[in-house]
Amino acid sequence: MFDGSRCPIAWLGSAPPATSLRALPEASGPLEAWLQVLSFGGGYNTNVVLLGAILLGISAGAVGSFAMLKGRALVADAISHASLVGVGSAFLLQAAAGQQERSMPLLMLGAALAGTCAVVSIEWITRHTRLSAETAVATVSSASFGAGIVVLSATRRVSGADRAGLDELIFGSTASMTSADAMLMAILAVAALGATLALYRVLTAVAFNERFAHARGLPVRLLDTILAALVGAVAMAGLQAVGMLLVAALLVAPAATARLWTTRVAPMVLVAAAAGAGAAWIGASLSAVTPNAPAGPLIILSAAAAFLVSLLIAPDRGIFSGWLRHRQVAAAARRLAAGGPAAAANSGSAPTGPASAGPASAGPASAGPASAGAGPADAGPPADEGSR
Amino acid sequence: MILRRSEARAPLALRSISVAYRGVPALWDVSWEAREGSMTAIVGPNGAGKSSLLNAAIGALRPLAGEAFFWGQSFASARSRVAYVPQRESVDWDFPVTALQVVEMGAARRLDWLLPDWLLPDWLLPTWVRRQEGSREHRAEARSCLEDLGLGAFADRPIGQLSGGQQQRVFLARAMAQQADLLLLDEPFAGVDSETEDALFHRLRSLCDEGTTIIAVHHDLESARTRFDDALLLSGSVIATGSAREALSEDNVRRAFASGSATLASSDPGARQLA
Repeated sequence: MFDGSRCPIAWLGSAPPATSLRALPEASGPLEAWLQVLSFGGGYNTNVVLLGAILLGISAGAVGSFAMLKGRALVADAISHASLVGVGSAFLLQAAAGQQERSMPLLMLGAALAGTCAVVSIEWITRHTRLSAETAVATVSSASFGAGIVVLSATRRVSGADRAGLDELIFGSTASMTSADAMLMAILAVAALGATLALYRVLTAVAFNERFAHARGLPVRLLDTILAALVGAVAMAGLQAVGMLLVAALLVAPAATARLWTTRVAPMVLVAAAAGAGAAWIGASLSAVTPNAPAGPLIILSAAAAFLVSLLIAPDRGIFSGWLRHRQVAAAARRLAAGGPAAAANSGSAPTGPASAGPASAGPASAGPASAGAGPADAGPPADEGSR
Repeated sequence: MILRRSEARAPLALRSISVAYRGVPALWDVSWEAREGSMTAIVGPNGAGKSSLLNAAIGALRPLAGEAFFWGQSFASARSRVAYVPQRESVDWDFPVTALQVVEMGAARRLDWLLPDWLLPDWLLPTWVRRQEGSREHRAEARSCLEDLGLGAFADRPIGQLSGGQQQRVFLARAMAQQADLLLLDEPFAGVDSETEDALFHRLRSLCDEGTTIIAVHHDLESARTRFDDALLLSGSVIATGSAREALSEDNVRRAFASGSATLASSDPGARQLA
């Protein structure tokens, strides 16, 4: 029933349209060209897009941190999947009305409406059933994706001249971005960033302990709505640069990276913003000098690379330091078991036992980076002697 | 709304509160008044609705019917005089926040939430908006609350690195930083060793002597009898109230723990009194 050209899946999988900025003619090699773009020597339009992407990365990092702390990181995914439906429907409406030009604001409006519907359904399911938020998000997200594919396959039957515009929104395209588009993206991103910083304390309080925040008189539901709106704003801002399928990753990856390096909210938000900015900077500039390389996936890959490296080498929470600590403690335990009196006297103050083998955050891991090199005597759970 | 005189005075007065989860009753027709300056234990078997009672009182849970009054006012108007300590399990302890920062959340006043000091320093504000206490003072206040509970050395530790008993004390310090007249504690001694429990009781008692009313969901019958003044024995509905020793008599306790959900089935209080 589906021939190749009609099958929406095949269509989604097909190569996105050319989406790179023009390579710079005057640069001698690819590396020089990249460095030139990196240092903002790539011409006005390239710079505007690059700056816009960096602002997007900053706000995605900051907003994404709170979404992650709230346990709602994947809401962005649901929003972006729902915006597929919104954009497709808006496009169909426009075609039905006989309008030829693709109107960006209308498509965005469709995306925003559909995203709102997704968020509202998620919150409703979470509050009114016993299902977990995770389940609600997954259900809404995949259902929207299904609906999105159906709607998009319908748009395929409508004449194709303006279809390219839709593809750009799905996969992201910095090439077709005008500086006005970039400006719009930057404004949305800065607004989301500003709101996040202004609400820093209340968002933290609600994410940490909702019931306490409620008891103190904070408008918990309103703040939930505001956070969802901020996530939505970043998703809309990232629509053109990163594409709706990948924008969720831009919210999650920098925040996850930052969490590995930090133990407080404020540094976490700052590191996440920096990671997002760095990923956008590197990804967008790489795409500008590589023919046929779309910016969105490159930005996401840069963010993922940063996460991967952090996962390995981060102090305290990284895999490597965990392994190192495990080795130290295991060696001490073996010495103790071997039972030389000297060894026993040496580590007599470490009666940690199996009790300390609990969750990483409560066990030996808690010694923190400061004492990572210290002996096992420091590695046990913080003793209660300090208390009265 | 006409209040009886005792209702208007009591730090917490519940009037015919019923709570249900998706049509399944958890609390049925609970009326009760706390005595000012006393320590009350809310005791009952699992699922007796002890936590639901506190949550319904502060409006975190919407009751099917009934009302809660704090000194005769709604919770919304009396909020600043009430401190609530949730169950320890209700929080993600891997959250990136230090012990001191948690306690500061208790010390923060209304304006601080929206205008953190670093965003808008005090001297920039017109005098009529100015914070009554600077946030530096809050930090000192929060620190002294932590030290008060023997956690001074742990102020800058991420909360995930604290033991269960220490986490519980951080929550208590946060409540103390609120300088409230009524403390609502949900299982404050869960996962706390006996030595710490002694210290906490000591501290709560001294707060009580200063006039604070304390209401705690408590699981241990023995210490509820000996350490608390009053008790509210729950099993879906009120089984007994009064002084801790009387309310928690062998007979009452047996009824509460034997009946389980059966109490809800026969929601006629007269019938239960005879049983």
